[in-house]
Amino acid sequence: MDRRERLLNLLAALLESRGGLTTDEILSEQSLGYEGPTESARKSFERDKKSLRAMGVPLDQVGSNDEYRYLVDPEAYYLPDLGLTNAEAAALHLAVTAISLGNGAGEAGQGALMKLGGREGDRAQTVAELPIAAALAPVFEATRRRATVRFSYRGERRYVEPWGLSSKRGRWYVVGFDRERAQIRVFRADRIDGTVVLGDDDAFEVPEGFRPEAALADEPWQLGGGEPVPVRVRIDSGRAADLASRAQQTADVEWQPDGGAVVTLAVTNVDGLRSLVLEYLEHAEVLGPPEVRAAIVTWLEAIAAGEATPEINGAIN
Amino acid sequence: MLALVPWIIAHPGSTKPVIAHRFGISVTQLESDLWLLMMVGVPPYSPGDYIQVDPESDTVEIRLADYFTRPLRLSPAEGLALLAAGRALLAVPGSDTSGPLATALKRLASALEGVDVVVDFGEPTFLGEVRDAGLAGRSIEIEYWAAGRDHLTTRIIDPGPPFFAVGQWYTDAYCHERSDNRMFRLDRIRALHPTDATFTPAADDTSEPPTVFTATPDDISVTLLLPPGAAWVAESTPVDSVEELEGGGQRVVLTVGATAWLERLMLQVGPDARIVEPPELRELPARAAQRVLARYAGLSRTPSAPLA
Repeated sequence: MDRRERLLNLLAALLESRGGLTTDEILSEQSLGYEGPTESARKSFERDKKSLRAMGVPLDQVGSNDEYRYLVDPEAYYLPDLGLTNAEAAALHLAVTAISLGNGAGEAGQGALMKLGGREGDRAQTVAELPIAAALAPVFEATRRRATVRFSYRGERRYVEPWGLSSKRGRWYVVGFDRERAQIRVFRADRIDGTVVLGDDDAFEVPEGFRPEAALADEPWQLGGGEPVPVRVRIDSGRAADLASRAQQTADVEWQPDGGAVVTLAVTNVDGLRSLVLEYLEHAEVLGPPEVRAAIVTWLEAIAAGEATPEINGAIN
Repeated sequence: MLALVPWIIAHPGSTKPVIAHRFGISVTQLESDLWLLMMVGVPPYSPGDYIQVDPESDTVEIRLADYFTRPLRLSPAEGLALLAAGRALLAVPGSDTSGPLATALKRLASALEGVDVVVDFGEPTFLGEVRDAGLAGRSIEIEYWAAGRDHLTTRIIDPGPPFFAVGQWYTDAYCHERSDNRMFRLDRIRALHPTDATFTPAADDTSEPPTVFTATPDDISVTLLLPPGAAWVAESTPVDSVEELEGGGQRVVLTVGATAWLERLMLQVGPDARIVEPPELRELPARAAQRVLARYAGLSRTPSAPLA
């Protein structure tokens, strides 16, 4: 018997059986195509269970150690009817083709379309590339189930209530409550290493009105917590409009007669500010406060000397 | 394959080519799937009792497929991919935020127990103008900051449809000055003026967007040694190769078109980064740092010359 055929038969049998089937019952049922309760049939069944679970089939195991019964709860198996109109199905098809989510996720999007009744209407030209990191799907599932997650992030173990997922400037972020640090923290999804381990369901509640996007800083110099420090940057004519438009509502701009400007930024992250100012090479200069200006001079002197030095960094606070 | 069944049941009499196209498979593959479905049966019934298909006929009907009449729930990866793609398309400036996509996503989010995702692409000042000019086939004059050469230039371009990649909005446009296609970052357009010139927009194709960075003959290959903590370089810049080094650093090979860009990168990464190849560029970060330091020392207080 073809393996796919055996899988389908097994799935149908598990969906039909109300109380579940034991391994022996499954292996002995001739129409399921196993060769009886032999060791090799047992191994085939183990492989088939894995395959079904990989397809997303909620295959349950009930009963005691000696005699497990296997079943698939129809309630958990079937997709609730979304009641999509043709126009809505076509819009989802457009979205899946217009947004390139990267290899695995692109296939998952196509798979979802198939389950929702295939491809309605035309495909679209790619409008945006927004790659989804591998860690995002399990975290998404945890968010849906209100389950805590444990993962490794920049070499540290984290224990987090994932409150929401948000994407900004082409990157995906997990925003959540870090239980060990007792603070809301933002994690870049592509920096989560290895396996994401889910805890029990319904382990937390997301505060009413929580918006994950609000936790994401707009610009690198706004990363980090603490009181913002006003930093004054002189920027030359020709580049001033660029900095002024980047900083927009968050900065105070004094235009000068030569076409340059002095821009005052609210800074919570000196590393981010340094990257911003060096973007303009010798056409920009930090005027103050003195400690920020000195930090940038020290940084540049180390580069000018061509010697590796301990990294100079850190938030102002 | 199971995804076929609910749709075929709901749409009796559909022809094989229609079904195959809809589900992205060949008619041969469809026929083989249908043969397989016929073999399915649950004890004590025999195969064919529940599913009856006639694979020989041009049209397909499935009867009595009780257990496969409704689709399998979405896996987490599928739910996320659909929601993320939908939210992302809706976040493209100019999307219809109350149209069928918006209502479809509402239904989807409620089936996923209210979980949703947020996408923000940002909106450079001239995104709408560039898109409209591209659609209408109208050439535009732009003031453009060429970051690699640190130059503000004025040129006339025929813009292609804007697209978002590596965190930025781009247009692949025909540049009249260069008589060739060039990639422009929309946030580097400082001013935009319509012109009377027209062009024929390229036919709407469904191919992948053009590569954001393409090397030109003047470009050189540069090898960098980067310290731990500078992984962002390889993540935000197209690089030719990355080799992880002991101790957490990286050896990165990338193609560089202009030295101002490389100077900026090296000053941002800091004193622990090194240019290894080519040897004549090894002193470049130190010289750039000295130039900027001269300004801090008050040796260069005059504003730089007005840009071309």
